[in-house]
Amino acid sequence: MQWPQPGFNFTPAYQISGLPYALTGTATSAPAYHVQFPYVTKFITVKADGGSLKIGFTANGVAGTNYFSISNNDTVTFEVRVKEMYIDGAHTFHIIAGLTGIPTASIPTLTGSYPFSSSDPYFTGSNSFTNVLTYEGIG
Amino acid sequence: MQYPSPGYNDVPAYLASGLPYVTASSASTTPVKISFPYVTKFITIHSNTSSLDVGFTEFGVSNSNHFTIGSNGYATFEVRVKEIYLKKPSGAGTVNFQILAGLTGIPTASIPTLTGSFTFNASDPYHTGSASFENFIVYSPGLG
Repeated sequence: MQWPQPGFNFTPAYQISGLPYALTGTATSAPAYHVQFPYVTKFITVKADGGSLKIGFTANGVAGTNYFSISNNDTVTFEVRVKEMYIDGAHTFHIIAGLTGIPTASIPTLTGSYPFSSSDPYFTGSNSFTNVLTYEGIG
Repeated sequence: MQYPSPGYNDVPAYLASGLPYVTASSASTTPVKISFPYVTKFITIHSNTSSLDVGFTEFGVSNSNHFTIGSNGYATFEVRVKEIYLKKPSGAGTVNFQILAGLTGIPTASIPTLTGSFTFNASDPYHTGSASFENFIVYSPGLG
């Protein structure tokens, strides 16, 4: 019998230092550049190189108003747990992320596109939304 | 039976990395309120057209209980709140800003309202002696 895999809410996985993930590329628009991490992130550091970039966590969000702008030559770090992010722009980006050992299959899909219900934000009443986490602020 | 929701003082909820919350908007000299769907672990703000005042009550941001982020400046605060207020310090027009916050899984209903507007009593800072103030945390200065 093997040890079970750590899940999305397994706190100790976020307390040790991350496994390194480094990527340099050129951002795109419509659609934005899609970065997929091999494990759930502990933190993400992004640098914009050559011009400003927008980052977001859904394609719809980064194309709308759910984005964070990073100015040219600025570097910003976010301690967020995600399996993917989107980078919108036409300039070079540099990413260093710290990864947990949590498989991305265990992380819910984050979206703001389903109707939000404050009384049932996880949509536990509907099986079709079992692995979806929806809230305002994602897009 | 489901697991109970974590409460405002549940330490493990703040030790895990946050769920992302991102928004881009603008503010004038009238405060803009941003309400988060869950209690925050941290908040990062980028003010990219002029300076921006950040506070945790509408009264505070309009008076002296605010932090000013310079033009094209970034600031990160590791604070647990359910809302923040943003405004342009002075002058006409608006200031563009973006927010990236890390959210815990703690429902905002469990967080007390933070305020400095009630009369502060050092011997009873939580106003536990009054049922009408049960879900408030009051201290001043610092909030407004």
